[in-house]
Parts: sequence; C-alpha cells; structure tokens
Amino acid sequence: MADVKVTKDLENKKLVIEHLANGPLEKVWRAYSEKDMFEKWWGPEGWETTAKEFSLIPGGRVHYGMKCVDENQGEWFGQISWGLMEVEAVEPQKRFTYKDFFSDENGTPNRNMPIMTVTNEFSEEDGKTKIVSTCLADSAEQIEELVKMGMVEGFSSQLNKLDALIS
Amino acid sequence: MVEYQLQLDSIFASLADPTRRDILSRVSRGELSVGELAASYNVSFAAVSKHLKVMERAKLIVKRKEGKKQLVSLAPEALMTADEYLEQYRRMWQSRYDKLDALIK
Repeated sequence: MADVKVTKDLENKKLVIEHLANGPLEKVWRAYSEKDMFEKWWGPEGWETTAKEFSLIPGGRVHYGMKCVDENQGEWFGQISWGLMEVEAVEPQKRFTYKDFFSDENGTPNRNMPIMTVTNEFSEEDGKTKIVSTCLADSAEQIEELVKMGMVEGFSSQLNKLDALIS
Repeated sequence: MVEYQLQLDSIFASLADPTRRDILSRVSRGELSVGELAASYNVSFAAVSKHLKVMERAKLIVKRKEGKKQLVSLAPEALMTADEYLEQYRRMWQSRYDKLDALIK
C-alpha cells in the first residue's frame, strides 16, 4: 500500500497530504497533466474517472466524473461523483494550484459544499517523486466541515446523487 | 452492521435536503435556537421543526430546552469523529496513489 501522510493544521486552515511516489518526476507530472494518464489513476480503487474537460493551464478547467464500478462497494456501485478544478497557476514539473469544487455533471460548481484551494508540489528524490498537496480553506470551520461532512468521496457522491434526485 | 447501515441511510436521507445540510453546517459551528434558525430561512417555525425532527431521528442533532427556548446542537456521536474521517480520507488517497505508483513504474 502507498504510504500517505495526512496532517490537519486547523490554525493555518489547511490539510496537507504527502506521498513519495515510486517513479520519476517527469512521469508523475504527466500523470497529473495529461488527460489519458489522469483518468487512469485519479479515481480511488473501484472508481473509474472520465474527464469531460481537461485543460491544466492557468485559467483552464478540469471537470471529471468518477464512477464506482466495483459491485462490492454496495450502495456506491454505479454512482458518479463529479468534481471540478479551476486551475490558477502552473509551473510544469514543479507545482500547480487550483480551486477544488464539488460539481454536477454540467460542470457547475456546488458552492454550498466547502471549496478548497489546493497546491500540489513535486520534487524528485533518488528516482522517486515527493508529492505534497496543501489544501487551504477559507476558514478553520471549513476544514472541520470538510473532514466531517464531505471529504470522503463516496459520501460526496451520495450527496450529489441526492442533489440530483431532489432537484 | 445492519444497524449502522440503517443509521447511515437515515443520515443520507436527512442530508438530501439543502436546508437540512445548511442547518447541520450552521449548528456544527455552535448551538442555535429553533427561532434563530427559522428566522434565517424565512420559513415558519413549524417548517424548521419538521426538518429538525428528521435530523433528530437520524441522530445528527440534539435538542435541549433552556427556559422557553429550544436549543439545537450537532450530535457528536452522529458523525464519525474527525479523526475517523481523516483516516478514511487518508485511505482514499492511499488507494489513489497506489494506482499512480503502478502507472508511473
């Protein structure tokens, strides 16, 4: 299993996710910046990702749906969770920053759900690549809210489905 | 497990409504009276009470009386603890990065 460290820093309104990826920086960057590569890994186990929009440039958007294709995941099976990144800054092979939204299938951001500004930073160490994702919220409460209410993808996909049902 | 499932179902059903999600998010920041909640949604006291009843059944909130006021707060046992959520979140990233590692080998 991948070694992943998640730290919560409420004082500074941020969450930090760290991972040492088992491959060179150039390939890791491609996995984030090329649609075909991105779609192969972005969904967690049992979830398939399809990007409807994919433009990892400043001002660009990445709009994607993750579908649960694993029958063993019970109620999640068949559900699609939509996400949207609004890309703000990109320094190839170094870092990129985006606003992370829950969205619907038309790419409309859901502003009732917490919104995070995420910066991904990459650095190579002995053929491996360190990835540090810093998720910054507007308020410490939002971090708590995210942690409590929506960060688990399955949970958010459930809410999205319910949103669709009731709208 | 079945009981856990039932509770999850009622939590999700309870959160299906945007007003209830908003109520939950507001009371998670601190205790509020039913009157305060009703005023902010421009709906009747009875309508808010109805929402609160659904949320109480899902064990998302708890109510207590203080004089004439009814105060609403987040039920701490309803949702997983923040650490448990954080652990699930970590696992989600772990499963994602497993796939990334396989892809870039």
